[in-house]
Amino acid sequence: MSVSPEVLDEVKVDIRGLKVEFEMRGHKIQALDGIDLTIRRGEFLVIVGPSGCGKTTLLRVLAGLEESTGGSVEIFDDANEQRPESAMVFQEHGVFSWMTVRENVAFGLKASGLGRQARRQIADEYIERVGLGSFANAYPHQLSGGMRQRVSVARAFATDAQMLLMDEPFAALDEQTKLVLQELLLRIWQETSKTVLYVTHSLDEALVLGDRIVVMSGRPGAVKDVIDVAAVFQRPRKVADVRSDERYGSMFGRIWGQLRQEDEETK
Amino acid sequence: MSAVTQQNSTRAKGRGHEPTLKARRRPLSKRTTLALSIASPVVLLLLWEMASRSGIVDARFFPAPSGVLVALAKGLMGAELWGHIGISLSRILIGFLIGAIPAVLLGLAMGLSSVIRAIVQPLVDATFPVPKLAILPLFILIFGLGEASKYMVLAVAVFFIVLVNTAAGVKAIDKTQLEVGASFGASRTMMFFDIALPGAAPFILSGLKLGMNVALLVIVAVEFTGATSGIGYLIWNSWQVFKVEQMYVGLVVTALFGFGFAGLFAALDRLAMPWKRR
Repeated sequence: MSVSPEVLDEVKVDIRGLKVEFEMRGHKIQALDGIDLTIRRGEFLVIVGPSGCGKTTLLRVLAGLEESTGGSVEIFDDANEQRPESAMVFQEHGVFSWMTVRENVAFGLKASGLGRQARRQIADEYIERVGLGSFANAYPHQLSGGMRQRVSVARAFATDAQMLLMDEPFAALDEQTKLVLQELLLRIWQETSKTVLYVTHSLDEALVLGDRIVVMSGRPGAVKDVIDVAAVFQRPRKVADVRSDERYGSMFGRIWGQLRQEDEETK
Repeated sequence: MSAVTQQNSTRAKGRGHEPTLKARRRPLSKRTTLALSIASPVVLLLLWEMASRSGIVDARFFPAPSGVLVALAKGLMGAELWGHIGISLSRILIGFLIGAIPAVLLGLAMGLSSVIRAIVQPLVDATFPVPKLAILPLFILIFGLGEASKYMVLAVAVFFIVLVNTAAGVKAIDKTQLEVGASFGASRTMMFFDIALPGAAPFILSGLKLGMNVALLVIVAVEFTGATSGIGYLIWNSWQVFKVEQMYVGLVVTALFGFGFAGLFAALDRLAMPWKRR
């Protein structure tokens, strides 16, 4: 990896005692209850946990889509503060059906005020990088689900945001497509060395992609464990290499144990 | 006629060889469908023509279609009919635009902002059920007997239907898509014109279509009594002086307006929503 350890150890996001409460039909729901978490600059942090544990809520707070009701979230800007704070990749329906692939990828650039010429140039570069070169003028309905997620990924990377927030971006895809896109994501991420916060319910995906894995417990959501994967699986990585590594099984078992215990506790 | 009877006989023959149920369920071929849909109005007109000429129906009330056609052709060669067509079309167009443009803008704002929705929605709910023609006298008081009161009645009728459709269209946009805009820090202008407007486009266009139909309905009614020109006036006046063929010419012209608008909006659909083309 091109990023030096000093840079990696810098704090990108500092979350202290974060609380989020929802009001739902008169009932108060505690989605997050006192989250303490430090995200390092340039790391690929994966959050896993049972559904409804508030992992998506955490991501949405960082994206500014959800208000916190307690605690603090501090986001430290990178040296180059011109770039947007964050860009988000959604699970599904994140691609605008009325825009071509190029317009979709250029959307974030337009939002940050870039001119038409520059937008087009950068968009085309990222369309090429995610392997959609010949589909720049296609509309989403002409693409497969996997190709649409490529558009989403390209759109987020194209903004050159300091931090990428990914909410189960490949969860709705078939296994093969998922594998290809995981490889693609790892490759682009390793080229750009951005901070990534990646939410998934798949332990396999967490192990394959993450530097660290945050295991969350559910209802109300809290951090249960943080597992350092980077210490075990060195960068740069290949998805297939991680899966065939003998330590993969024991790592998987450790997280699974956490989650199963969690499951029994809630029962 | 002969084509139709032949069609029937082959279908009847076919039925004899196969189980009845299966034969009935088989979809018609494209050619048959086309032939039948051309034949049915032609047959109807022919029956009407014969009935009118033979005196089965009163030719004073139901003049033969051929007579109406001749009257229409005569009218189209003169200046008077064109004058009526022109004035009605310009009233429809101006009234439509005065109503539709603010309706789309306000509808988008209502769909995007819960504050604006909270302010506007009760006003819309309270005034929507008022028959739009009922406010014509009021508008004549305010805007006078000239063109302005006609534009405004049309505008109001179009406004409501487009507004309601546009707001519904924005609400039908997938929540994620609005969040994409917010998460990328899109400006209000971008939320408006890059997300809400195209996202709601199918609803807006069907609202405009409905609005145009309402405009046609309202203009004819307005011209019945409150005008000395236009297609509505032509129909009403022909009835008063008992020029029934002339009256039918007016009816045919309004029908042609309807067809024309439908064609126009079909073209607009394709033009405004290139992503819907397959």
